[in-house]
Amino acid sequence: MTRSYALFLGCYIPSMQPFAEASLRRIAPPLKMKLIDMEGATCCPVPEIVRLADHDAWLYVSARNLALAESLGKDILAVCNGCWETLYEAREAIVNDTQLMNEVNSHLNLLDKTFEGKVKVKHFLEVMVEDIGLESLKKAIKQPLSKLNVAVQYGCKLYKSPDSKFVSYFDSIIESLGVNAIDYGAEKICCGFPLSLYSLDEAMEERAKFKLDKMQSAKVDCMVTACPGCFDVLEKAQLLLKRQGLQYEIPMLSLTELIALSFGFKPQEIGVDKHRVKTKTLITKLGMGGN
Amino acid sequence: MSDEEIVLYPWRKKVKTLPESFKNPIMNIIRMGHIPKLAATRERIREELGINRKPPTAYKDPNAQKEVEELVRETDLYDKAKWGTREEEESGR
Repeated sequence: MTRSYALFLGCYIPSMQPFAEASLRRIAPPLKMKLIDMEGATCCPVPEIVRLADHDAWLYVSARNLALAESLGKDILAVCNGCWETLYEAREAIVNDTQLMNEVNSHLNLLDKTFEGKVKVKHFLEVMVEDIGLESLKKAIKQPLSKLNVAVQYGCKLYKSPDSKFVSYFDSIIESLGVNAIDYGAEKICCGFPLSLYSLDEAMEERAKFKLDKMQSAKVDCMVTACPGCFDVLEKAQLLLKRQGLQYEIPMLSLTELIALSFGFKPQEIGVDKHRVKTKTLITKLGMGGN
Repeated sequence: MSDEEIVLYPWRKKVKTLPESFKNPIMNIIRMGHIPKLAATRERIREELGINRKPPTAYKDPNAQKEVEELVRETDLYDKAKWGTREEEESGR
């Protein structure tokens, strides 16, 4: 059975990490997922900035995105931890408060839009485990990546899922792919993304560097994350700290890229060779040619 | 910070003025609907990867950008930030 979702791309994936989008679009057909673009979708908007600055602005803009999905009649597939947090929490607030729903709709109606809570917000991890199923995932694997030792970067938002279930979902997916998740001892530490919105330097020094040091000590082949915010900061950190003589060069993969590689897609097809932190060593280890 | 959040996080300080570092991301959301600008190099990479050169979001939809600005205009965000709207900046006010 093919399942359809309203694809919410957010900001960072389409503009900064197109390889994450390309790999998602490649793995969707083998997983019997139909992705329907949410045309005109905007920033979720980012909770660390907009919710803090003005709760109403955050709520109305996220409600507009929810309304777009509702007009498509499909649950939202969020491929970004931050987008999931905003859309999920905005939806919960709206559907559990009739007065708030009326208030939100009074603004949306001016745009000929409405949101009645008919669609849900699902994280990519949730869809993979609860809708698609790990058995379907395993069946689609053509290139087992059992040689790969990865550092999993969960991202803080996953711990906000009910009972933190998305964290165990991430582990289950990694296990199903046959990849070795290495315990590097800093999995639960924030990457520094929220801090980077105030001071990139402090985020590098106080958060990212700590994590990268741990990953380097654990001798991982790469890190994998389902959060474009974590990806962005840990990528920037590696590039900026290099100027201080710190050589990490830990290849990074979005989870959709890791899945696509295990499905037999070539790194060049999904853009693994387009990363700013070089992935040549990783591709070579996988026996898939260099970039 | 909402009243609900004040109850949840009583030690959190109420924001009086927004950090300067918030200006660009917020203005980009209001004007483009997104935070990062879509660089030409990224557009080229998207095309090479077989996905649309422009993402099917507000990046290619001026109407979506206007709608976000309209929604934000109904909130206190502009007043809190003391930043000009697009129209004010364009008219030189």
